[in-house]
Amino acid sequence: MSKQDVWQGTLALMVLKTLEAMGAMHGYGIARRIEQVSDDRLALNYGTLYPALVKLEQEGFIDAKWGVSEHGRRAKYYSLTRAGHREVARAEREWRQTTELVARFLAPAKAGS
Amino acid sequence: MSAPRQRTRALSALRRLLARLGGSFGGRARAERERELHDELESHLQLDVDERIARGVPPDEARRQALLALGGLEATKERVRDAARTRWLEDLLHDARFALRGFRRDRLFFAVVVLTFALGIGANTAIFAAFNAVLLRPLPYPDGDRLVRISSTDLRAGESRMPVTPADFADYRDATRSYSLMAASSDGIFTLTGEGEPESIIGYRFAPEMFTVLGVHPALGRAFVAADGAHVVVLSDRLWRRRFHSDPGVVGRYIRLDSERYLVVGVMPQSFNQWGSNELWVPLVIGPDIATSRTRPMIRIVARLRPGATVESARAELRTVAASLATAHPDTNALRGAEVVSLRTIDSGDARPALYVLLGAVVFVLLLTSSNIAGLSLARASRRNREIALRTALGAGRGRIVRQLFTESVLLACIGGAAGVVLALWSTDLLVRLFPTHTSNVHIPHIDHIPIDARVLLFGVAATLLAGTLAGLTPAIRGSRIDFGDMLKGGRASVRGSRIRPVLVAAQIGLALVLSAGAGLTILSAHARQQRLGFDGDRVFTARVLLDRSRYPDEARRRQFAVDLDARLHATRDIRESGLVHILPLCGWSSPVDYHTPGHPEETHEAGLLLADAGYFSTMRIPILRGRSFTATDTLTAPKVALVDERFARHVFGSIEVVGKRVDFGTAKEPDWRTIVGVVGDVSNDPPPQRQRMMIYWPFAQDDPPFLAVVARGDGEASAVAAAVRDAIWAVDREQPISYAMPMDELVADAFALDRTSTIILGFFALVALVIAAMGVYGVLAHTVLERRHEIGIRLALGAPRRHIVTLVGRQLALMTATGLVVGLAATLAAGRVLAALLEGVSAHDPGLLAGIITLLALVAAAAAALPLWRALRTDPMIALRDP
Repeated sequence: MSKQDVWQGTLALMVLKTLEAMGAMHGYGIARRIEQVSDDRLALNYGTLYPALVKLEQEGFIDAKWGVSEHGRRAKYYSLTRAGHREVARAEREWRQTTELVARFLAPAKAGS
Repeated sequence: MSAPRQRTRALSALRRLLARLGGSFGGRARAERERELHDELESHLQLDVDERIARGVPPDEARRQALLALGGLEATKERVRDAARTRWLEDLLHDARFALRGFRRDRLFFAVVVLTFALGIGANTAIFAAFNAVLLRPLPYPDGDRLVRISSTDLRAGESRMPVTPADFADYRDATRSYSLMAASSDGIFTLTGEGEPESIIGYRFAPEMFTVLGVHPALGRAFVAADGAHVVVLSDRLWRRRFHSDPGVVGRYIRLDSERYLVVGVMPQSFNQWGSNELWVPLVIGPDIATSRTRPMIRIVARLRPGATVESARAELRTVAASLATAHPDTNALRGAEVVSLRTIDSGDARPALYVLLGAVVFVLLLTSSNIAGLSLARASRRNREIALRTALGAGRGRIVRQLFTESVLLACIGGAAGVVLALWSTDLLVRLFPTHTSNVHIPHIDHIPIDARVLLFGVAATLLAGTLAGLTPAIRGSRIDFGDMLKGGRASVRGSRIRPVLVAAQIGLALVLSAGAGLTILSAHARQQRLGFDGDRVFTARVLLDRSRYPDEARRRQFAVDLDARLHATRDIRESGLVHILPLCGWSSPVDYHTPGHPEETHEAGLLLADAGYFSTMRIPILRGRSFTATDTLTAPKVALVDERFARHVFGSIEVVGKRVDFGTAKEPDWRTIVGVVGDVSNDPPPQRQRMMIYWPFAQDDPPFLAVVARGDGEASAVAAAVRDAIWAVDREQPISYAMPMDELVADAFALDRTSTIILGFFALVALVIAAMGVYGVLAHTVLERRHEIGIRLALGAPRRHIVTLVGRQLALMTATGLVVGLAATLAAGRVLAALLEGVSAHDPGLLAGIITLLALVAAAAAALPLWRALRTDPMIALRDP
């Protein structure tokens, strides 16, 4: 897989996970939340978020609705759909399996014992 | 690592292309999406700016930082657009891959559907290829669609396309403004001698400007100009290759035509071969003696329309000119009109109706095959209900499922379409036989191959997409409506699916009725035409002799040739019967004669004229219905006599008891009274689709035959008769060329080539329609029986009489068939009005034929129902217990 694919897959999971934890959020909010959770270690280019949102919406994992922010600004709010909830569970499981697998390769001594 | 990236790159290239193609569609929805995207990003920036200002960043700087963090407004928009577009392409590829996997599991379905598509699309492509080759192909002249033929018409007889008199031509040319250039020509027959066997050659006399009008240039040498005089010639590519061995040195040499020396100045290119069957061109010289004639129609005019003029405007203008000529010269032009027709229309005129019928019929075939595939896909969909329900449950949207099913259908159509085009490529060999090879002067172009060009391929693609859409629509919409709750629980096919298929099958039966009735009528009409030939050409051999005017300059010598030839033929052992006629039936030539209506001498009408001898009627088995045939006493000095056909007798006298009546064939100044001595049977002299005209026969001995043909019947081999005829002609004159030596049967076959081949094709289409209707009936009933086997099993277990089961199946069969037949009959009666114009000897609503076809369809439907019914009756009652 190319870097971009990894990044896109990861980003999508981050978005879904954020929405699962926080409920409906607008794009800026999601971006800031991802930065905060990563302790600002992840320098997110906000622009990359929106293509990911479009794709997730097309896949039917998230829904969008216009609303008003706490400071009275109009913004588009995203929330998880039923399919989205299932997708989070699936993707989480898959991600965990992948990282476990990779972890074994990174620590071969332990795996061999 | 690089494969996905390559794919992404390929996808984005394709995406850009499709975006450009799709740019004109869905403009409003796109504008809406664009606005929303803009609003969302602006809102994002605003939120970011707000927060930065709250942290103490100055507003301008905050905006700059926010934009930077976003990565640019336009760049982001572009990335979002990209993401949105890639999506459906990825879906498409995914759907296609998924469909292909499905087909691999369902091979029988795949094979049947692809074959059906191939048949429907292939037939359409092939027929369109023929249509394209005849009616759409470019004429062999630059800007050929601006070329028109101008002819005189006989306003009373309704005769059009008559040659124009020299004086009329001059007036047409000088009084009209619709043409940039107008030129005259006339046809002629030349005898080429000197190199090899003497040969009669059809040539054209061209006014030198004719080459300019047509926009053609010789491939070798040059065209002739006015200054060349009369004795120059331009050869056709065909003649140049055949007689002069493609020798470029022929230009500048002299050849002998009609015993005179002509200088070859040029050779036309091969593409010009299509201009009729003519082989050479010499200058048209209109001598001062005939230049002012309004009574000698001899000129054929071709003109090029001036920019802005249309055929219609030119026609209107010319009619005005003809009307003013009628006023100015009432004694010659009173009944003469003028007509402008595009060269393209003339070129293919007689093939047009048959091709339109075929094209109409083949559209029905496409509808039938598509509906059949829709039925098959519905059946398959009902087997896939569980799969679809599962996908719905897993969150696939309805649109997504419609798209999946639709993609499958279009994919199948594409595979079938590709096979269909290959099929079309093969079948063009059959279609070529639509076009006669020997019959000249019929307005059917001679075509020796039918190209599959870009236009035909484009048509094939369009037919494929149409067929795929038609076949995919119903199953896709149906498939998306499956209630997954029910399905996951029961897994049984839902009942709604089985309601659409009977409707499809009823439509198939209706379409099959229309198609078979149309085919049946066309076949009957063609059969009627062939039945009414009026002569028996079996074992008759023919040859045509075009006498060289330079060697037979006077009437007496020409007549002597006929007398000598007749004697020779009768003396030949291999020839049992023989006769002479000046034009053979169905060869495409005809000559007219005017007669004065008895009792109304001021009225003249036109009939066909043939010069013949007694042997012609007996050899061709043309019956003498009343009176006598010609005899040896009907000489030049004897009283002038004529035979008429039954058509003429009934039309002019209202009865066939006309022996002894006299008819005037002369002019007001010079009457030419002849006595009718006999009535002969009607003969088809004009090839279809032309209507037969009334015929007059004069004895050979009482007129001057411009050319003649031999009909000979022998007991031996055709080749022996052929050799005997040739020897007889050459025994009279060794220098005389013989043209078109062939069996009469071949001439008949040629004249009916279009008729015969199109009836074979239509018959094939009707057969396909019947098979598809039968498949449809079988499919639906088999499905019903399968679906209700529990019910049937229970009924049988409870002791229900078998006839109840028969009723169960029979009711559905009757309903489908009856609906289909009623709708089909209504459509057939409506279509009959269009078809009626093309039929001859049979009514478009022929009750016997319609009843026969309806019975046949009902029988086919019943036969198709037999197997499902048998299965239903053999249902094991245990099934109800075993498999609840």
